[in-house]
Amino acid sequence: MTEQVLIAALKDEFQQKRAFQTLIETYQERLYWHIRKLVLDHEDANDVIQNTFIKAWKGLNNFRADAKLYTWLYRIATNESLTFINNRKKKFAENFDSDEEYSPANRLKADEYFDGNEAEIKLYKALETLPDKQRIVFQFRYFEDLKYEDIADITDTSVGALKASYHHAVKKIEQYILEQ
Amino acid sequence: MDDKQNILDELKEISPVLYKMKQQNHHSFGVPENYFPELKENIFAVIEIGLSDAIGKDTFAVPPNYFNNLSGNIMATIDAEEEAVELGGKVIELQSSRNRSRTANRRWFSMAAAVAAVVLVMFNLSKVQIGPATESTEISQADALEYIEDNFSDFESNELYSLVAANDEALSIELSEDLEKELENYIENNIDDWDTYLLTNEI
Repeated sequence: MTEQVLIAALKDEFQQKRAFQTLIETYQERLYWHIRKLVLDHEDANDVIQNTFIKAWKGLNNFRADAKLYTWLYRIATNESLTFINNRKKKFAENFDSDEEYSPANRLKADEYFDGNEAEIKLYKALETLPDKQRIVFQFRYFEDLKYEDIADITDTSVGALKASYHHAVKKIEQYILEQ
Repeated sequence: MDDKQNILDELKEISPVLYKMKQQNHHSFGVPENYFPELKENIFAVIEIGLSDAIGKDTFAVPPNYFNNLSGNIMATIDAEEEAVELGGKVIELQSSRNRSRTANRRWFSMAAAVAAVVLVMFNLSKVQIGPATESTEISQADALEYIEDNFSDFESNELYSLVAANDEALSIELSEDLEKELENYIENNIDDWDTYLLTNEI
C-alpha cells in the first residue's frame, strides 16, 4: 500500500481502523527504536509508543493529507518522549540528590534488555547532559542516519540551525567521553 | 555518495572518537519475545475499550450551577460562623478547628501552669512560715499535683483566663519535663470538650 493510498484510507470512515492497523505495522519498529534510544528503558518505551499511536489515532482528523506520515508520527513520538523524560526527571529530582544517581543510563548495566559495553553507556550518559534540541538532532543523525532535510521537517527547524546543533552536540559528547 | 556515507564523513570530521564508536556500533538493546507482533493488538485494545478518549480529559464533574452558587454558600457559612462566635459582644477570631483546639490546649495548659505556679508559691510560703529554718523549702512534684487535683475547682476559670490572656508570654513558667507531662495528661483526662468549655466560659 502506497503512502497516498494509506492516507486516503485513514481519512475514510469505513476503512479507518484497518488502515490504522497498517500504519502501526509499518511504523511501529522504527518509532519504537527512536523512542527507546531516548528513554532507554523498554517499559518506558512501550508506554511512550502506545501513547504516540493513541495520540495519532485521536489526531487523525487533524492530519493534513499533503503531509508525510512518518514526519507526523516522528514528531508525535519525539514530543511524547521528551515530555516523558522531563516528567520523569522532575519526579525523580525529589528523591535523588544528583543527576548521576537519577541517570537512566546508569541503570542500563542492570537492564536485562541491554547488552552494550561501557563505552555505549558512557555515550548515553553524555546524551543525558545535552539540551533537548541537541539531543534530538544527534539521535536522528547518529543513530537513525536521517538527512538534515528530514530532521528539519520533523522538528520544524532550519537545516542551518540543525547543523550547528549537531556540531555542538558531537563536540560536547566527545568531550564528556574523553573526560570520564 | 549515499546519505549514510555523508553522515559518517561529517562525523569523522567533527569527532574521530565518535566516528570510531559509530563504526563499531552494534544493536545493544533488546525487547521481550513477541513484543512487536503483540504491540499492534495492545494499542488497539486500548483504543477499542475507549481508554484513549479518557486520556487527557477531565473525568470529574460538578453538580449543575455549582460554581455559580459557590461564593454565596461560602459567604453564608462565614456569616453563620461569625454570628455563632460573637458572644457577649466579644468577637472571637475565626480559626480552623485544629488551630482552635491547639489554642485551647495551650490556654488550658497556661491556666494549669498558673495554678501550679500559685500552688508552688503557696507551698513555699507555708513552708517558710511553718517549717524549721533548716528545713528545705522545695516541694515535690507529687505534692504539687495532688494539691492541684484536690483544689482545681476552687480556682475561678475566668480569673485564671484573665491572668493567662493578659500576657501569655509573661506566664513562661519553667517547669520540669515530668511536671509538664503530668499537667498535660491531667488536662486531657479531665476536660472532655475544650471548644465547648472555652465558648461557654467566654474564653
